[in-house]
Amino acid sequence: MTAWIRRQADQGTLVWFLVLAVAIEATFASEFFLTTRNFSTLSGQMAPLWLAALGQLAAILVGAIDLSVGATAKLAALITSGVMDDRASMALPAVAIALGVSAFVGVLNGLMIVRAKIDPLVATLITFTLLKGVSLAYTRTPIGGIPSELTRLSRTQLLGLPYSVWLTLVFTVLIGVLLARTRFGRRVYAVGGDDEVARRAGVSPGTVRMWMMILCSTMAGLAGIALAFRQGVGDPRAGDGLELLSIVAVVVGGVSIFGGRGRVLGVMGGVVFLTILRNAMNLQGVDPLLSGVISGVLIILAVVVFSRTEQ
Amino acid sequence: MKHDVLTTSESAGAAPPALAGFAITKHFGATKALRGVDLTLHRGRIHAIVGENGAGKSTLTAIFAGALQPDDGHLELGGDPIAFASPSDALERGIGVVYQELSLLPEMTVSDNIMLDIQPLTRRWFIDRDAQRSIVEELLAEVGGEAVDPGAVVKDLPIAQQQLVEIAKVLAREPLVIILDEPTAMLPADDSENLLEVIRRLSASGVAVGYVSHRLDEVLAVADEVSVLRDGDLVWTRPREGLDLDEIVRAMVGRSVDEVYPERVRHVAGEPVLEVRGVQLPGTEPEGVSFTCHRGEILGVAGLMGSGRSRLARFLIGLEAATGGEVTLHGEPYKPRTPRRSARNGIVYVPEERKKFGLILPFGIDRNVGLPSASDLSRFGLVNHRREISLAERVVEEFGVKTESVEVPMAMLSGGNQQKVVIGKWLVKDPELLILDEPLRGIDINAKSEIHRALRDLADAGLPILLISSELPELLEISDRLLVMRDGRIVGEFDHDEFVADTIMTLATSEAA
Repeated sequence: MTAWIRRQADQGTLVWFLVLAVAIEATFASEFFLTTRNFSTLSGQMAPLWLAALGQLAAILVGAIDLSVGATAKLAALITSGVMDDRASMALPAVAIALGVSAFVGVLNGLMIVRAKIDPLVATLITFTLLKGVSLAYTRTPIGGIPSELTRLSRTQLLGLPYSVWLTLVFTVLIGVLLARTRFGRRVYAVGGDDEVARRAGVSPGTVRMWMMILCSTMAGLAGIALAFRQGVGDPRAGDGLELLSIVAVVVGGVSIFGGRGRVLGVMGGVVFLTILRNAMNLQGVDPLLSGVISGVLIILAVVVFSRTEQ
Repeated sequence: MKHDVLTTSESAGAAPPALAGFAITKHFGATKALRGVDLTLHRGRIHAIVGENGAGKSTLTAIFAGALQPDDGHLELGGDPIAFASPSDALERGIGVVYQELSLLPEMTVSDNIMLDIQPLTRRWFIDRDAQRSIVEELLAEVGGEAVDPGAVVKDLPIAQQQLVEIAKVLAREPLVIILDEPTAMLPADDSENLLEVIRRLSASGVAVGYVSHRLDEVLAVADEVSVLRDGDLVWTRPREGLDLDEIVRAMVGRSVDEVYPERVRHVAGEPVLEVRGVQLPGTEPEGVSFTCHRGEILGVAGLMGSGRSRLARFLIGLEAATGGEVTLHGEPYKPRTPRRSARNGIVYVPEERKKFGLILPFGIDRNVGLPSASDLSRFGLVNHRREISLAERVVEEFGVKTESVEVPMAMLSGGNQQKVVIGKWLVKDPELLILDEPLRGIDINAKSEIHRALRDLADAGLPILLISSELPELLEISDRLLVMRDGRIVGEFDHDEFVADTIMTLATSEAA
């Protein structure tokens, strides 16, 4: 039994049982849970965390937890909205600049970790602080705006899912294929498992780690853009807490916090779990303050169960 | 494989050697690990490299593997001079090394490990999983690992299968030379036999094999030629024909074989302190381990890596389980449970890797010495630092630790002085039994003799000492009695006047004795 649980956890499937459990409970407790309307709200809510968690997966797989994910998303959201400033014509440049800045953040993280050999937690904490400062200097109040025709477009549905969700799914598949089917993907797992073993096989751990840090920050930037489109404005609080939520989603998804093991399937489960947990409590009228405590306790339990499988 | 037409053992002598080292010399600080060693590996032949711990085998392997650069001398690959920049450079040029500690990624599958970075691709980007699987199955079959599932995650496999995967991983890179570093050290006998068969097959297919091992019966069974290293020198290289076990052992141990170890006043063995009867370590013969350790004696435990000597020690302090048998301490039944309880019963254990288990390097001598005695040194939960310092000063004085002050961080002390502190911090607790595991590894000669003297003094004062070491000369020098372990059993027991180095070495290294 424990061996079975361990295998399910390793493969990222165990978390889906949790998702199922919450979904069943919520279905019985609230007639509103299993409606298409709630479903599309849920999927829209999920997109930013989903994108950020995919980025966090990339970083954690090479043994580098990224604490700057939330701050990167915030800056990307502010830039998207600020540059666009309610002009649809500026949409592409705004998104491009936001992504460019995010990727640059990844380069910065990568240089600190790979070149300067700073511990990833410390390096990304430095970036986190730096970016918070930059965002504050940029604006302290909501800035710019996304033209309503664009926010509407992002909510337009195709086959029951909003465009934003489809876009998220495309990135999910791309990263999934990169990790599971390509030689580069194997290098990622090898570097996360053991630098020395990877090096002996001819893999350059520094290069791999660098690319993964860039991928992580770029995904965080995408999360920020998704946030801006959802809110229609550049909110200075956008992305707060995203770093921790994304780490929790990844860990609950069965990814080893030390690197070298984890699948996209698990991370998806982690994101869905966190999102519907909150949704289910909202629907059941749980006091928001209490629901924070409840989800905190549940997450601690889940993380304990999942990290137990390490040894 | 295809090469066998090219090489038979007759033509091997004529062809340029696959890999050769000439006058290889390597220093580490003041110690010379290798002194002008010549060694040649020929295609289609198995060259065994033997020697005691510290003889220079690992250093030589590391130089052949590109992990170390020689200070002097050079390598030739296929007759041309060469210098390897790194292990992956050596691997690319056809030098595959199967390391003693496996270099597999435990979380990845067998296939992914074997084919790391050499996967067959389709459409430039994607791993061709069908092709990969069939290559892997072929490789596994070649090393006798048909039973291994290519899709299994490595951490779920038994160690013997992991060993085969490791060899398949090296083979996948189509090496001209394979060097195996103690490949059977961790394997039970049946699996070792299978591995030797694999090595013979590899050699028959034209690969040059370097085989580093402690197990001399295996060396005799498989090698075409044998080289013996001792203290960084090459003693000789001879063809297998006409060699016997005694000759190899004599070369390994050196000239001093026939010398009787200096007679000295032997402490009259006091009453038994620790008695172990029929304790069986997991996975070993049911007859188990039995011995007695008396008051005032130094009881040496000899054996190779994996012989169970360290596990025995770990069992005695409750870090390792064992079945059956009984242990008595001062005649009372004693059941090891946890190190903490053992320490309270007066059994003190100084572990193998002092930097990992024995010391807190950034702390000073005072705080390290104070750690086991914290409750004696404190009142109301607060440690009295002045008493800690005076305790540390006592240790420094009694053991002759060389330091400017007891507050200097341990990291600044030499290995010998660190070890004195590790032993000393326990002795202030007045133990009943002292167990030392490899106490002298990585310690310079002067410090060694000082520690020897300190141990002798302790024993003369009545403390029984169980001394585990892989360095036979050391054991012969200071033990009063000696146990020899192999495969989790005690295969010999000697009194000081019966010590003969090569008999003991033979017992420890081979089944045949």
